[in-house]
Amino acid sequence: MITFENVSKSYKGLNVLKNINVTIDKEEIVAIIGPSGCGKSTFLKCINGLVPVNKGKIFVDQIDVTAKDVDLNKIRSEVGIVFQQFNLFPHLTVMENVTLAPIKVRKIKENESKIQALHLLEKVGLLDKIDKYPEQLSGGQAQRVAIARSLAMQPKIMLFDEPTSALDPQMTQEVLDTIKTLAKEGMTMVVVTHEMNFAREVANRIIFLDRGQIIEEGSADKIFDNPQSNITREFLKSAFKKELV
Amino acid sequence: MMHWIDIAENYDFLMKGLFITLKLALVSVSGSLLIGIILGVLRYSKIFLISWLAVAYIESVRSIPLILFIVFIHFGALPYLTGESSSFFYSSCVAFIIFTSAYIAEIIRSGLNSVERGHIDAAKSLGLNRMQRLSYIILPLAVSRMTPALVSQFISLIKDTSLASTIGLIELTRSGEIIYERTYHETEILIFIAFIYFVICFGLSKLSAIWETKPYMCTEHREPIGANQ
Repeated sequence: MITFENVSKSYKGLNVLKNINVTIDKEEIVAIIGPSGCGKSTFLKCINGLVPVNKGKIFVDQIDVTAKDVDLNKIRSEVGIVFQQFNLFPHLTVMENVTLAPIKVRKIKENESKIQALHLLEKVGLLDKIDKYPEQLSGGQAQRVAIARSLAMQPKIMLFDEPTSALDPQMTQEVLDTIKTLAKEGMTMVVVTHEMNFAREVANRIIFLDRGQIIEEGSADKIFDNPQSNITREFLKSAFKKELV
Repeated sequence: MMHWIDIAENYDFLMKGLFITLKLALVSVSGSLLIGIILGVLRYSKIFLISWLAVAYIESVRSIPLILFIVFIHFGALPYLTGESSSFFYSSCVAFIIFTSAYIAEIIRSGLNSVERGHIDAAKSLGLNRMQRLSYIILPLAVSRMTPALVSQFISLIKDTSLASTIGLIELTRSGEIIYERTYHETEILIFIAFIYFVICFGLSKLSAIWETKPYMCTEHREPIGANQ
């Protein structure tokens, strides 16, 4: 479903991603973990072309997103992304946030799109907020609307960029529960996260990134219980210490 | 002693002037908003030549006094281009639109630049193309944030319409002048005219204050509720 071939990316001389090779299969749930600034977000944003790469190729559903003549808008309509800061459109109501892209990009009729939006908002438990503006929502609610907005495009892949980093613990839980529901439905997902327990619970595979390189990857049990690399071990030790506090 | 009776006696004449002022303001505001938005978008363009041309227009217009535009367009440019003399009203509209659109363009551009990267990324990620991002996300956000600056520009424009009196357009200010040139009672007329301008401009400013209290208007100052950093 997603293939990285020798992908490198640098920002102003700083190598953010170094020669990444990885394949993510259909219906797989991959968690990307690693210290801050290790390239996790960049990795994710390369998938839908928000960040252009310098070298290598990325295939999404067999289409090369790094090709010059690629229709990025088409790929992006198949790949949902949820951001750390929610990024809901502040001038649109919850309903309008969710229906905008289906109506304008997918050309779905307004009524149909609204019905679909109601289903999605019910799924994330926010049916009572349809006429509210993002301003009037709590962080957890805003993030769940953002998830519904992405799902409204009926994406084949969902990307999550630290979806709970801007939330307090209680709200974190409501968002994680929503993501878990999606995971059970067989959505292909790539999740960048600091929530180690969550990663362990939902992910089929964990990728540990450090300084732009994949240090280690494998099943959750393998990475968490039997990490091969010292860097991974050190990182996990500090990450779990933080989570316990 | 005061001669307020002058106002009552010339009331219809003054109201005719006010009507011309309002018409001039309305046409100029709409025209300069339209052209200003187009210029602002061109200025925002990634194609160098286009944005450079917009900059050249904006900077030239902003560096020349308005009165020169009015006089030059009425007595120079329009007669030269069309081969016949232009009406006072038409010339004034053209001058005000050219002049104000440059300022509007700068306001629009700063508004466009104020739209957060995150919102643009979100719009991109949903598959909206550049035109759709601009019309559904970027422009609405920019315009609503720029309302205070736009309103204050329009207030300036309304007051500046009085400069059209210099080429002979009988709008509010010129109507007053005509009356006191005859009666020599400037004070009353000028106070009355000033009061009318005040009512229009202050009203507009209050109206924009209502608009600004829309629920989403203050998002940029908002901390996400529950932010823990």
